[in-house]
Amino acid sequence: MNVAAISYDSESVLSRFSDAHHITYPMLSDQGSAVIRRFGILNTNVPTDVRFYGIPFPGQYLLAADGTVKSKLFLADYQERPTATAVLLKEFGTAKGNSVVVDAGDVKARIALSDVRAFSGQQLGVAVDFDIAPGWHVYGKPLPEEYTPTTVTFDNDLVSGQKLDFPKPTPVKFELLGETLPVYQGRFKAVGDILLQQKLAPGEHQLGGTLSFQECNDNLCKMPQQTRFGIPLRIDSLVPATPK
Amino acid sequence: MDTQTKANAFHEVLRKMAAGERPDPRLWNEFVAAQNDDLKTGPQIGEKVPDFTLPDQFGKQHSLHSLMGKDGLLLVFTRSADW
Repeated sequence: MNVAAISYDSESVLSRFSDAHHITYPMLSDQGSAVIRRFGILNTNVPTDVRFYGIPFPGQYLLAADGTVKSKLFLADYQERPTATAVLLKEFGTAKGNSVVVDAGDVKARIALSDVRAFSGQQLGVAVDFDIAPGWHVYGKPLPEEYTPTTVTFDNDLVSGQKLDFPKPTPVKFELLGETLPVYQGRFKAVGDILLQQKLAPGEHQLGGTLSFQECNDNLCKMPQQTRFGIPLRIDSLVPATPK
Repeated sequence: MDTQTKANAFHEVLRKMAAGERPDPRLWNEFVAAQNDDLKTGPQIGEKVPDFTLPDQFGKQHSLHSLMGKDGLLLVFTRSADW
């Protein structure tokens, strides 16, 4: 999976930026915005007398090798945009960020971030790989009150929004209980995003959270468990414009 | 949003920023809304994107075809590396 960026910047602007930030992927120079126009994404809201006329509606395309669009992501709020690596995480399960394995005995979860470093206000990808020991299961939703569904929740000191999508659970009939409950067994994966708070102090942080679940086998249920975890995440200060 | 309101939002915010003033939240929100009005996202899923050849930051020319990896390409359109 290759990555390339396009902007209306000149080669020299891109060269300075690329040097300053050690970018290894191609940053393509579309000076005059001909390709931006060809894609149909020129931002025509910008008055022509404004310096940044020529910018696109920012977004990304995931392309198949024959040039077909497999998926695309354009967000209206330009301050909330996932990193390129967050899209890689969702589409290919390639985590470029740090991860932590929470080992709660029969329930193990590997919680991975899409990036090792981010800016305040940035959206990151999250993937959680669960591994439930044979004979045991945990629960999905919707669930009667007396049971605990499986959740991963990040602390709100660093995170202002979060969404984690779980796969469809399997409905299993429990004869003894006289109920059918949504169940996860074996290996399964939840994928989602977190939105970082604005104005975080630059430096090394611990992204904290709680894994909550209840494990049962065919005969009994253990007490619901809450396990804390922390994932290292570096917050960078916002990039100033490249020096002229 | 009509053209005049959008143009005003852009000009006002840029004027304030050039003068070292912070736009108030109402003006800032109008500015963001003006930029995102009638958002266009280009080629549809399943469509082929237009072909192109562009130079990169090292002066090397790339065609769409030459950028492709085995599994395809993530192509990111950004506003600017300069601001």
